[in-house]
Amino acid sequence: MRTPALSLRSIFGLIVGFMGVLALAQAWVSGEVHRSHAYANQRQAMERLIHLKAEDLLADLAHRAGDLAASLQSGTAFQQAFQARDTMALARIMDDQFHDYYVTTGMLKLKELAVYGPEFAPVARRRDTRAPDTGDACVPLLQRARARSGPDRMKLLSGLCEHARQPYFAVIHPIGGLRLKGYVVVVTDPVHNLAEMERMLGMPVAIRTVAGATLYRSQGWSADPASAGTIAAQHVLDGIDGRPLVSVAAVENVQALMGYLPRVRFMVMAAGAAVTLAAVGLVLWVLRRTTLQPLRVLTDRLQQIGTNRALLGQPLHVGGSSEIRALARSFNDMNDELGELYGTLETMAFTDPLTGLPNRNRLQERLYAQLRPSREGSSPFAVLLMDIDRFKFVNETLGHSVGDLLLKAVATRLQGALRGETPAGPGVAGREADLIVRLGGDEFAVLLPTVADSAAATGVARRLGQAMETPFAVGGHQLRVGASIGIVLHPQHGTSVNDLMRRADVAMYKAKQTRAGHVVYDAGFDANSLRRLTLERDLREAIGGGQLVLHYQPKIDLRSGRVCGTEALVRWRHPELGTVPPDEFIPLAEQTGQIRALTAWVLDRAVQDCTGFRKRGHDIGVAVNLSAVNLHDGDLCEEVKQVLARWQFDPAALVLELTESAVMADPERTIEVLEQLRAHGVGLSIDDFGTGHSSLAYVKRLPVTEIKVDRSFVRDVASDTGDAAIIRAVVELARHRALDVVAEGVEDAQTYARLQSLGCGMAQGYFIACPMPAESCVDWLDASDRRMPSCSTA
Amino acid sequence: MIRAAALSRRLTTWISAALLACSLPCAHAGSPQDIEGASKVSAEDVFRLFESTPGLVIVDSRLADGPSSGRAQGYIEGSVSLPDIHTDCPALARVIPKKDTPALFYCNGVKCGRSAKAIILAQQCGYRKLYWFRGGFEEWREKGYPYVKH
Repeated sequence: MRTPALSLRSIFGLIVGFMGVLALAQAWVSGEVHRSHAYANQRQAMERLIHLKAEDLLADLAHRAGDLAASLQSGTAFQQAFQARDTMALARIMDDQFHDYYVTTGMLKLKELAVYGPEFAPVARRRDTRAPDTGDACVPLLQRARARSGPDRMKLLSGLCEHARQPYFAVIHPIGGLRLKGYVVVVTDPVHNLAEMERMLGMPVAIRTVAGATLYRSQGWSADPASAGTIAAQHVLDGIDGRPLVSVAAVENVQALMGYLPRVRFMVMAAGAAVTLAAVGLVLWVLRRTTLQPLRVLTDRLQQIGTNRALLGQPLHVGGSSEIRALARSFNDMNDELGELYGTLETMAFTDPLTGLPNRNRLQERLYAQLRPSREGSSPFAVLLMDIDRFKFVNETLGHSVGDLLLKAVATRLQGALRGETPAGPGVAGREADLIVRLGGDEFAVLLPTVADSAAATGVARRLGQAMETPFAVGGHQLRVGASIGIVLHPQHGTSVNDLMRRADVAMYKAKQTRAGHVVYDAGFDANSLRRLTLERDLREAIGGGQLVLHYQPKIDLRSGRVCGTEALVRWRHPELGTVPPDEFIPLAEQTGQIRALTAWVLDRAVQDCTGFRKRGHDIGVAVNLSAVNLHDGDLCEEVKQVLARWQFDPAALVLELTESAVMADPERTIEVLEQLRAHGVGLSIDDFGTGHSSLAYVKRLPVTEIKVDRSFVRDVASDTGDAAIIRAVVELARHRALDVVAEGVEDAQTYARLQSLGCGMAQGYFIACPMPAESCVDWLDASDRRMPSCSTA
Repeated sequence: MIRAAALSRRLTTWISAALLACSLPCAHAGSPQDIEGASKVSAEDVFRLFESTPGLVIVDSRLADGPSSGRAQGYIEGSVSLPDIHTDCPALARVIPKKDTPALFYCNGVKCGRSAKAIILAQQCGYRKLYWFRGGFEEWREKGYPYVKH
């Protein structure tokens, strides 16, 4: 179970609140302790007060009793009677004392008077006849007085004593001044005097014996002195022998104090609560200023960055505590780095590293933005998709580095063209919103967001095409490449990015196919383009997957009528589309770079089949067609060598055919490659001779062994004297250079006969035999053996 | 220089006068610690002296007239009242028989100067055996010794 996360503010609030409650509890407890202490202190103070007052009162009593004794003995009558030990007279004099001033005014409650000799021999004794007998109440006091010696015997001695549970206070006073003659003992009732305490303290007082008998009690004395609102304290007075005799208790009314204490407690609690609240408020305020607010700013910024990347790298100024400032500094540093990183990533994500142009992602982003439903209506725009003609050729023949340089040059030139510049110099005002991107490979695309009709789009396409016409000087080469541009318009040709791009692609292929330069998309293209895309997709699988087959068309020696060779012709049996003609898939293979694999396969299979033919006794060769692209394949010679070695095939029996136009695309290179091939003993043939505007100067230099006259010259040779003259010239040329001449497309007997009469060496065509699979060809060869003898090798 | 010396001299005179002015009332306010030629005694010594010295005269130097006078508070039994203000050689001669009769003087206590004054007068009159109970009646009563009071 997870504890719910609390905010910093709540946590601090709880802590401070908890501390506040603790402080209140402490205030309450200390208040209680203080109160009980206050009571205890008050009680102690009262006990001390009672003690002091009791001592004062007894000292005062002793003083008065002493005065009484002094007064008694100073009389001459007393002195004479005492001297004479006249007991009667002394009794009379002492009786008078019971009516003395002190006694009659109540200052002294005289209970007994006694006179003793110097050694405490009793002389006379009188007591208050109305009171109980005091007995020998103060024997211990007398014993102590008797035990004294020296000047101490002259001192006054007083103390409490008890008889019949009644306390008395006695004073022993010497008689005779400096010359000790005896003692007067005065016994009084101390309760009366101690009760004075009520008046002195202003409190109700109770005087009791230690046994509990009440001797005196004030009127205000409450029945239960320990009841609420009062503090009771007492002091016990000891007798002369040290035994506790009398307790004096007082009760103080502390109702006011008790009423005051809760008020104080309430005020302390209220003050505590106020201080706690103030502390909570202060802490929260400080926390808010130093921590929470800056943190809020930081988290807000983090959330904003989540939706608005433009804020990346923008510094944030935050106050608060040093820790928060440090955090903000780290945040800013990190934000800076992230901003830079994001910029770099964005650049990388949306830029083509080779040309520096925006890339496919940028185009898609712009297209999506353009198609966004929130935009007003569906604003028309145009997309141009461009492919560089013969780029793969350049790439494969001159290497990727040259290809890359060419792409850069193309990018620069396209940009210029889009801005209205010509390769010669800057042009007029550019179109800022136009976007040119490199999609990858040799494909470029242009978004024209303000172009609404095909005329304007075509205008831009034409300008781009023109810009590409000037040869590119790249890596020491003067490269002439063209461009095929497909044009789509929104919304006529599609309303989704996918549809528009796919159809632009279709239009581009159409342009390439028709060599039209640029083509505006048309709904009719789709069927063709679909077949083309399917073929392109399936070709690779076809080469390795047994869908390709070779057909062989025999060549006849016109002089002997014998079969002297076969031309291998490739056929594609597509599992869904049926037989695909070579005119359709060979260019595809050339464009998609699969021609090398295709040629290698054809070469191998043709040599293999021909080996089979030769093993059956047919001493014939085989001719294989090369593509212009094959000439630039550095491995061609090696490939041929390997095939020959693999089947232990006579090189002279292999003829490699090359169209005249292929030769003329790069004659120097062709001558170089052909010479290498010739060095291996392989026969070489110029195919479709007469269509490629070949320079005879080159033909002279070509290391070929055979010339195949194009069918266009052969078809009407029987009737057209011009064609016949050409063939005759070719035959003448060949004879001079000891080359074989093969006439293609021989379809009837007249043509066959005419060629024989013109001196043409060999013929090939439906009249002789259609192209046929290897098995049929073997049968045909077997049959032909019976018809005519085999031709001699050239 | 002359003016400074004169100032210094005058200052010295002032300070001396001030000290003198202070010392006079101070001497009046109490009694000296000791009086030369007189023996200082305590309350207990009074008893012993009384027992060992027959003919000892105890002189109470306090005023005796009126209820608030010193002697009215009480006095040591057997003492003779001779207030210091009335003390002179003839008066002394009336209470002390001879010049070598031992005589003890007391008044209220240490704050009272009357007994000291009387002793000095007695010395001047030629009395030779003089005792001074400096603690006086206060010490006597404090220690709980009996006294006479009318």
